[in-house]
Amino acid sequence: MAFCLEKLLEELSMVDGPPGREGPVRKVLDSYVRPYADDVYEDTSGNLIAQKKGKGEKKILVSTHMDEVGMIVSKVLPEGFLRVEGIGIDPKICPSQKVRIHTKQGVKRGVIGMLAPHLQTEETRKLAANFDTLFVDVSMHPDLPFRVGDFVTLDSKPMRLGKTYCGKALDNRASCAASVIALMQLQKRDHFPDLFFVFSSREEVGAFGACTASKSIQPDLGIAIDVTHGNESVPNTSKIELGKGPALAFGPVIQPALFKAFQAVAEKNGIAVQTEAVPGRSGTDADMIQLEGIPSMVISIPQRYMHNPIEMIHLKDIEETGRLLACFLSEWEG
Amino acid sequence: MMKWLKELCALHGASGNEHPVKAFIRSKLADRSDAVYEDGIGNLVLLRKGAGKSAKRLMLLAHMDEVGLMVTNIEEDGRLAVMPVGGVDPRVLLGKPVVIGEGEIPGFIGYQAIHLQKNTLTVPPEWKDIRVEAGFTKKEQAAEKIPIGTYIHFHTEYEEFENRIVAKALDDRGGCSILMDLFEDLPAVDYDIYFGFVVQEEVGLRGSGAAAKLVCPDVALVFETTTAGDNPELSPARWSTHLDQGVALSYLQGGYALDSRIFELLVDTASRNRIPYQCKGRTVGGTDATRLAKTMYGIPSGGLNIPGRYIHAPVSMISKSDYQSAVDLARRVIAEGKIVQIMEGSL
Repeated sequence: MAFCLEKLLEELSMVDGPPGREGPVRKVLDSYVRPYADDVYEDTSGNLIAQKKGKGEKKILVSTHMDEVGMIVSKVLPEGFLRVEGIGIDPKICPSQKVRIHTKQGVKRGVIGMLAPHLQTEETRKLAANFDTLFVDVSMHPDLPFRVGDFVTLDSKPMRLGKTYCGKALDNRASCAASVIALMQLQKRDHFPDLFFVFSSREEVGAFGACTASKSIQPDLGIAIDVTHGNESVPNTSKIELGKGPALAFGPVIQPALFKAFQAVAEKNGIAVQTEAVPGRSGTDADMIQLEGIPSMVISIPQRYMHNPIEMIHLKDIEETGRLLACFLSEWEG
Repeated sequence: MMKWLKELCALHGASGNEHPVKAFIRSKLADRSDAVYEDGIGNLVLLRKGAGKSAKRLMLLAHMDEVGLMVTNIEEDGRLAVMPVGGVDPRVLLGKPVVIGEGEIPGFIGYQAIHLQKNTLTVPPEWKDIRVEAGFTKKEQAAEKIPIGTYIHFHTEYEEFENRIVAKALDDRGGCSILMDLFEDLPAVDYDIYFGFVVQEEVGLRGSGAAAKLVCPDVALVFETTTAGDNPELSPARWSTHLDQGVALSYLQGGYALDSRIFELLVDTASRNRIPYQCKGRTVGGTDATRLAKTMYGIPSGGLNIPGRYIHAPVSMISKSDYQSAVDLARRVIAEGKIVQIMEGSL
């Protein structure tokens, strides 16, 4: 069957994988990468690793995290409500949001409610939603099959809008899709080192997956692909735009020679790229890869509304990120 | 029961844009009506004649409109600025999917990523912060497809649970659905019953007066989905109604004291027939009963309400058993027929 990027993104957005609970995402990715990899395995941290054997001299790790932001049940109220804590989520986007609660007895539906305007007062109208006051209404499940520690994910459906694709968890499954594209394109190429495509776990809580993967694989270099804020005016920062190609990051986390190599590959292959200055930690898997003493690089797909129930990404940026990656991996002379 | 509720909630009919709801109801009930009336503001009234011995007229009302948004400006970057149609709290909008205009163009309300918020982390969004994203990148591009004044509706999948309905627009498609259920299985009575599906309740009770003038009813019953508030945000003492405790009867609302004879009749009928009911504990929120009291000779009316959590938001919730109590009580009241004699009793 012909590859369809939108179909892959839809599948990836619809499955749930909060940090440390990425099983359903692994399953989708496994089915996509297995035909193109020599070995696909899961490690102790929950990373899914697709290995593609090359010339065997050097090893390159490509990390794209597959977990997503969410919430965790902190209290079960007997009246049919749950209190929750956030995992990377803005509580302000929660009111009137449907959620899925991952219980031992399967996935249950819930609703984050907010008092109707009629019942608000001058004081309560001034309050932004926060996790001290937010609650999930689960009164449709009178047997309350919930426990403290159950994970909660956002229930939103992806959509195609113009040239963009919008949905939950595209941070960072858009990058997972770019890795899949690169793997497929490498089928037509033969000149590359040993490759480890790591679909990493637990990035949103501190890149624990990438940490384990870089230790066990010990690559010669590591590339993290993640999303960055696009179409937003950030003070003192050049504007990254959706649809203008992947952003190459530069800063302490980036090995300068790698940055230059990516620039050269992009230019040679006619791939439009943007540059993003990252003067400190990158907030990506690269931070952990570099701590292992491995030269690292960060490529970012521009995204608007990050960590929202609906995140927005330009389809061409994913395709071009995949192509840039495939070109780099087969043209790198190490 | 609830034969049409799912389809009713899926329709998009913000105040002033009720025609899809009206067309649906008309298509289901008009051929079984003894008369069908539409008026200039957009109301739909269906008559079911009684056996003819009585000249009395009972009018049942529910409003077809829902709260929503309207495009009020298009930004240079192609995003849509909006204002509310009816009472909408901007805090329930962030990250929610919507459909835009008659063509139901998909979109959503995007909000700045948490990482980029500096001074706004604990500040609630205002209307100036609400932007609808529809995939356009330029103002002209968006303006071509989406003129200023386009209606925007919430896009929420209807879900049914054992004793819960979760949907948008339950206020007041719940009331419309009750009227349709009553129409389907109406007790045989002597007097005439008018089913009023009215417009523009959410923007100031603007439709019901005209509809009542068409009918000149002796008495009216208004079916609403009302506030609940029985969630952790309020102490039980401040709840408006409580889900699963039955149909909510209102005696005073939004500054109007409903007809005490009708209120007592509803309470008495519910008690005698062991139909679960509760009295609405808060007086917030107006209904068309208030408009009826200001119409013609001051049409006396009663209010039967389905308690609804989180109404006026993309996701609201009712209890199926409460809905059933409202239907049961209405059927008993209609069958017993004392309601149309109410003018003859003293206040």
